[in-house]
Formats: sequence, C-alpha cells, structure tokens
Amino acid sequence: MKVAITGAGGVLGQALLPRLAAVHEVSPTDIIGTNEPANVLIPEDMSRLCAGNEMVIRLAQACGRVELSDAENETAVLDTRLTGTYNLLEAAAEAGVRQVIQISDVCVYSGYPKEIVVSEDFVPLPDTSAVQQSIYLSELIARAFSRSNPGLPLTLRLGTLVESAKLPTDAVFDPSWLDIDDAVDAILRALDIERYDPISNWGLYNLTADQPRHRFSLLKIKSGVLGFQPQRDFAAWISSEAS
Amino acid sequence: MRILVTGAAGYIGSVVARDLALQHHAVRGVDIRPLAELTDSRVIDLNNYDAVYEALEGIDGIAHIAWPTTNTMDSASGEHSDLGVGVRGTFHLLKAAVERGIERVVFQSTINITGPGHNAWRLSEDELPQPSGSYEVGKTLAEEMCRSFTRVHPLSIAVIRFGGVFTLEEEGHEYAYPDRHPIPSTCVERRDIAQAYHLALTRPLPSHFEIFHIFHERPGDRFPIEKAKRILGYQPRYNGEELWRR
Repeated sequence: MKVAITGAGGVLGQALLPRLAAVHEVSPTDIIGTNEPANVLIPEDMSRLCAGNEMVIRLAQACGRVELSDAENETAVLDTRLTGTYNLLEAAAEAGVRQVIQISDVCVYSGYPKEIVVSEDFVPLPDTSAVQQSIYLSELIARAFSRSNPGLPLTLRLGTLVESAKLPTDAVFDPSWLDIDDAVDAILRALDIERYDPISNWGLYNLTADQPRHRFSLLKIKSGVLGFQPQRDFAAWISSEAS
Repeated sequence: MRILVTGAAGYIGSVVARDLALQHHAVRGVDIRPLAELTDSRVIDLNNYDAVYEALEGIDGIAHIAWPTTNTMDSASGEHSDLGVGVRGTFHLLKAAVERGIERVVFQSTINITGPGHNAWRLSEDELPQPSGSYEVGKTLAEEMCRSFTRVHPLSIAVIRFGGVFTLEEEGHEYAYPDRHPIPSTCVERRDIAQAYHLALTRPLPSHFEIFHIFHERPGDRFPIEKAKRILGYQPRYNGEELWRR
C-alpha cells in the first residue's frame, strides 16, 4: 500500500518509518530534513503529498523552539495543527485518499479529575493552552471532514510516548504512558483495517498502555474493528503513581 | 462600560462601535484597517499577541467582530485566513482577556455553522454545528475555544449567531431582491446587532457560556430568537416590514 507521512522526522515518525517501510511503500515527508520536504501550511504541498497515496499518516506538530518568543511558538503550534490539518484533509478528500490517520492526544481529557476513567464517549475538556486547544480543535476539523467524507479521518488519541526499555527505574508512573512500540503497532494495525467502527463516520480511539487502574478506557480500541491490544505495560512503575 | 470592539472599521463593527458609544459606553475600536470615526482607535493585527494585550488595557468587555474577509484575507491558508488569524486571533484575544481580568466577551459567530439548508424548519441554538468550508469550520472552532476558556477561567462569553446583515440606513444595502422578495430569515439589521452587543455585554447570563440567535422578527422565522428575548431582553426594531408586507 502507498502511504505518505507528514512529520516523519519526529520521534514517532522515526520509530514508525523502518517498520512501515518493511511492509508498505512509504513517502516520508517533513518540513525539513527529508527527501521530500512538505509543509502542511502550504496547500500545494499537501496536494502533492496526497496524489497517488492510499493512506496518509499525520504526525506533524510544531515543537517549541528556544529562539522564538512564546507568542511565535503558540502561532506555530496552532497553525500546524489547525491550518495544517485542514489543508491535509482537503487535499486528501480531493485526491481520493482512503484514510488519513490523525495522531491526537489523550490530553484533551485534562479537565477531568484523575479518579475518573474516561472513554471516547466523554466530552473533551482541554485546558486553554495553545497546545491543548490546537489538539482538541484539530479533532473537530477531522469530525467536520468526516461528514462530507465518511471514514476519511481516523483519529488515534495517544498517551504520553515513552520507551519502556529506557525508562529509569525511579520514574514516577503516569497513567497516560504509552510505549512508543505500541503506538507504532496501532498505526500499522489502523492501516490494515478496511472500515471504521460504524457508530459514526469518524474513527476515534484512545490508546494508552493497558494497566490495572487505567485512566483511559481502551474498550473501544480493543473490542472495535481495530481489535488492538497494547503489549507493553509498566507493571514495575505502577506503584509509583503520584497521588 | 469600557468596551473594545474588534473589526471596528468594518460594515458591522463600525455601527456597533458607534451605537455602543451612543449607549454611553467608552468604546475603543481596533482593526487591521485604518479607523476614521472613533476618538479611541488603534490599528492592530490580531496575529500580534503583544498588540492585542496592549489594546486591552483598561477594558471591561470585548465585542469580538474581527474576522478575515475576502478583503483582508491573503489566501485560504495564509496568515490572514479563517483558521489562521480567525481562530488564532480569537485565541490571542481570549488569552489576553484572561491576563487582563476581563470578565465578559461577546463573540460573533454565524448561523451558517448549524446550516441554512432546509434539513429542518426550526433550529435552536442547541443544534449541533455541522460546518463545511473553512469559514464555518473556523467559526465552529472559535466557538469551542470560547467554551473552553469559560470552563477554565473566570470569564463569561456570549456567542451571537446571525447570517446576512442588511441596513435600512443606507440605500442599496437592504439585502433584498428588487421585486419585493422577502429578506431571508437569516438576516438582521445592523443597528439590531449593535443592540445585541450592548445587551450581551451588560445583561446577566444564566451560565458562563451562552449562544444566542440574533435575527429580525417576522412570521415563519426558522431561527427562533426567543432565547435572546427572554434572557437578554433583545427586541429587534428594524424588521424590514416594507420588504415583506404587501
């Protein structure tokens, strides 16, 4: 299958690329540093990226840069997620891309107390930072496109990416942790499914490590059409969860 | 009340600024274009957070009207676009409002997000937004951002939704067809918008986030204004009856 990636130069992109390239024909792009530079803020770049590809994985996000002011960093964060997502989905719909996998974040639930187990059925309560607003609002862009293009966006809300093999033994457990290998596995799995859960025209799934006393319900991603079961847990760290 | 009006040079903003001043508010107008008629006005770009923060000094409430239009937009995805300065400008304004301790904002949205199509005959403010196109998506996102800010911060926001804007003050802007075709139900006269801003900035709100339809009044309306009448005391005065009465 022909798959394009935006933001391929990031941490998740770098973990994903070799495993993706082993089974699919991949066009990795990023704003700099890849063979095919592509800027999600430029509609023509997104049209070129989508042409001829069956799937697109959207990883692009702005990272804070020390040489920029706070306001400039916020602008980059908002634009990359909002204008960038809109440009990509518009180009994907035009080019007949089958699916765009949007990588989102379980931080959209940050307004809930830690004792509450949240599922996709809970209304998101993001804070008002540029990061959380851009993540939450970009999901709504996906939802808007899912009405005119049913099934085009599939949104994976990932937890905080960690590498369990490199995790210090004294790290304080966070129930949003997700091993990066499980994130990669889930994206590969999402590429293989032919359809999305029929509850709406928009595939939306939470994914964190599967833990006892979990904070994010994995029922939908485990039992729906994705049928995905994360493999890495953090049993050695669970007892350290901050109260 | 000391009120900042964004987009104060525009077709709606200029009348809102004028009429708020007539209601004895101290009005400061900002716009990306030059402003002629206000004593307190500044030319700022909502892309510039520092300029937004500066403009809010001494302000109690905000009438947020500014939005990129085909006149000011540089491209569909450039800086001055719906998802660019439209949504981001709203972010800057809300963030600066919180920093300044401002407690009331009125955000101008559009009836287009719940759809002027004929899927249903009467649509309330509770209708699910179904935006398509970058303008409608941008306004929907900005409304949701307003909702988040009111949940997290001590800030109340009234969203007002309307569609086409006519005026009976200037010839040629009646927004009606020459053959006495009735004006669409999505329309409102400019001075009634100004009335709505005054009310939405000053009246108590039942919760920190409320959405109001603001339209003219006529038989067969599709977008009821009962909520604005009941909670804000809104009463449209310019219903263009001569445009739809025989």
